[in-house]
Amino acid sequence: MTDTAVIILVLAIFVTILFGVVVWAHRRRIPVHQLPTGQEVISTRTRRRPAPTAPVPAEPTEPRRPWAKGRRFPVPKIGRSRPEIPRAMPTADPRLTGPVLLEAAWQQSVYHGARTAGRFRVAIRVATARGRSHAYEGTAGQDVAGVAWNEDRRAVFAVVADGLGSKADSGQIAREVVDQTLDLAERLQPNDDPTAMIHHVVRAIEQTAAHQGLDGATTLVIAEIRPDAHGAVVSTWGIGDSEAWLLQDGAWRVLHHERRSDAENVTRHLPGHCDVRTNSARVQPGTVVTIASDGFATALATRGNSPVAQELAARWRKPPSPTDFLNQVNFDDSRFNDDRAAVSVWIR
Amino acid sequence: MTTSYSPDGAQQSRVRTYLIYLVLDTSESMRRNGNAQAHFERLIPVMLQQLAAHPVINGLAAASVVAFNDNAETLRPMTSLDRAASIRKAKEGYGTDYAAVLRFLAKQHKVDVRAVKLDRTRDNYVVDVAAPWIFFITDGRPFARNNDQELSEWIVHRDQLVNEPIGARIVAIGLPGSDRDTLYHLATGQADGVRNAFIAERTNNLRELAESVVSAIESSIATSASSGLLTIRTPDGMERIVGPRP
Repeated sequence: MTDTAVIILVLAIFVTILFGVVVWAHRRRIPVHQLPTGQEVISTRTRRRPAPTAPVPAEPTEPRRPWAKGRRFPVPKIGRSRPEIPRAMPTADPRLTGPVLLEAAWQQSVYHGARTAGRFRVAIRVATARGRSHAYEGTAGQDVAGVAWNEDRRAVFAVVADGLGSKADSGQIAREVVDQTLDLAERLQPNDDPTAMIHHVVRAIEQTAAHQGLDGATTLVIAEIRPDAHGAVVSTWGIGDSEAWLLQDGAWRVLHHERRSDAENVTRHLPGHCDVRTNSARVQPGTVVTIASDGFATALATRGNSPVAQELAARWRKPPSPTDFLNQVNFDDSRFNDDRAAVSVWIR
Repeated sequence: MTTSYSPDGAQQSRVRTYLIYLVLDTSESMRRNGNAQAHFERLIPVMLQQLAAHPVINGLAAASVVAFNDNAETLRPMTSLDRAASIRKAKEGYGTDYAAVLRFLAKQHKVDVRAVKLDRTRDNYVVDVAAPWIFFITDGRPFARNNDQELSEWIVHRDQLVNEPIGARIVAIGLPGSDRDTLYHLATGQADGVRNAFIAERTNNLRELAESVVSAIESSIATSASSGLLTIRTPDGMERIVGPRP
């Protein structure tokens, strides 16, 4: 026998002995109980073996940004904490091209868009929702909102009209007003006066209502956001109790409102009134311009003690997702039952 | 509109609330000839219960029930529609003292406005109390201290109620036996002269008439609280009074 063969034999014996020791150490011991004859056997196990513990994944080393390129949703940590529902993935805002019109007739609607012109960048959100009053009565909501981009003026036009609930055709009138305003605003030339355009809309809607025999009326608020060297100039025009607001550094500032000293639900409207109230402000990037019907806007306040105003000031530092914006405009409070329409523009 | 414009109005967010008075004539004649008073005493609580179930207006409006004969009294204090409140039985009386009840309402309104504002103020919202709506149900001519009450005796109290700062809107509903001109003078309405004054047509079943009146009031409250403007349809079995007799 050669030396090599001896070594192999010794190693084989050693491995065999080692294997036998390991098997002996891990042998399964079955408990045996001595039972009297006739006694029922329920179980031969003294206790249940614990279920194998699930492997715990290592702490994620990367930040929770599932939408980031090339990354996957993190696996919920089973057994250690509650599984977390992934947050809604933000959607890139499409470029605002043609005019957009939303109405609160029967459903909730939301639009999101963006526009860039050199250093001037805006994110746009539009939302409309039928109020609880109309929903309960089974009637159509009467608020309308829209937005348009004017290439020649390099400006965003936002429009909101709130049809008067006391007249049956107010929703149709509101739609006509917003439609005509967007159509004209989109084609306005750089040196044109928007006030003249609005007077034209007022006259046109008077004629439309008369010719078609419509029994309706609406408020109107318009904002133009136009870039300048330091940010943008925001101009507003209003007839009635729809409102225009700025959100700057967490504080609300009103540009147009017609809140009354009494509590009467009476407002200026068109057709009927043609005196347009105007205002303007030079604003810096970071400002949010909001125009809205009173169903939403009366929850805002300049003193900062309104719960809705405070909440939105915190949440609107950046443009919310479209569905978040719709939910925020359509906030739930039993004291606010009117239709809602709002356009917000984030100046970036 | 511009006269009521409040430049500082945007400093605080606001919610609006409405006060509704149901005023019931409980003079001696209301207990005769079919007992109209009993019908209304049965129907008004049911109406308030139905309005309490309205998911939109039950939180917007508060209602009070006031009775009057020789004097005026509150049967149900001004209470939000979504809150239960008992309606006590009216004291019996003989007369139909318009001056007393109109004076009583003007005085009571101040108290009710304070109470409703206190009750509703929360979350830093300013509570705006709209001009009250008064549904006035009567079957007779103004009569007090054994004499007919002249227009001049009570119209001053009516004007105090409907003019600023209260600015009440009054719907006058006349059951058989009431006087057209009185109802027209009592009611308010539009600038074009149309007023919310109604009078029963001659041949009516009193129970059905009471039901149609209460139904019209209920519908009016539901519609008006939603729109913020007092509107009412003509109750079945009644006609709108176009104007006073020349």
